[in-house]
Amino acid sequence: MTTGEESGVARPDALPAEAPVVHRNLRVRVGARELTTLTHDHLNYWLSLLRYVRGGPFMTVARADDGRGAFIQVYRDSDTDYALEVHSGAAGAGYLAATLHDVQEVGQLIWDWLENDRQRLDAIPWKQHPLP
Amino acid sequence: MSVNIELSLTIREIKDERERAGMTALLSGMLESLHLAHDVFITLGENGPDLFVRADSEYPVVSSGYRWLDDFEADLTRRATALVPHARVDFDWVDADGEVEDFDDDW
Repeated sequence: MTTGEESGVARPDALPAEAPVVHRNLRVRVGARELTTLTHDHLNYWLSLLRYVRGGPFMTVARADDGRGAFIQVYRDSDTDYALEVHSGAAGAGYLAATLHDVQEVGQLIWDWLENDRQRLDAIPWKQHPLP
Repeated sequence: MSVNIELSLTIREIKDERERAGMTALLSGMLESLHLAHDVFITLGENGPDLFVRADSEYPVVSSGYRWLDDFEADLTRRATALVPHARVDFDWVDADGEVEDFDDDW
């Protein structure tokens, strides 16, 4: 899907060749909005619109059935600064924080978190913080 | 009298994720062409086995005097049902008092 950030030639209406991967039963906050369902495209769509949403330019993603309270969240500080934080849900574990400069990378890391793919997440130079 | 309206619509009775992805792209492109991509937001949801795509604004974005609304409703309905014939498009234009607007009465 596109956003107002993109421009291009109109394409004919069509269904995609393959169904996208969908994550349901989520607890997603985007500013004041609550979502339950994300695809990778839809995740990137919301990240591209953070500056316009009511309630603050942030997104928090958690699984509704995760009793540990694990989450990943991002706050858009500027066009080029995104504060990404991850909490494992483990008691007393604190959270990991990093500032990223590419919203596409932010989207990929949040999607990796949903997919339980740690490769790129583990390569980030995180700073450890205690929970407030 | 001009009345500002919140845009709210739902495309229902989508049966699978391919259909929903195609419908989401269609809706996104139409909102972009109307320069509403930063004001009207698209969400995904499920109602039992039926999937839906919803678009709504967080504040009034449309004046009831705007003539493109009729064309927008007709065009979206035509293109959505051409893409997914069993889909249903419902429009719920809401004014500042929370009342559902019927534009046929105005025009």
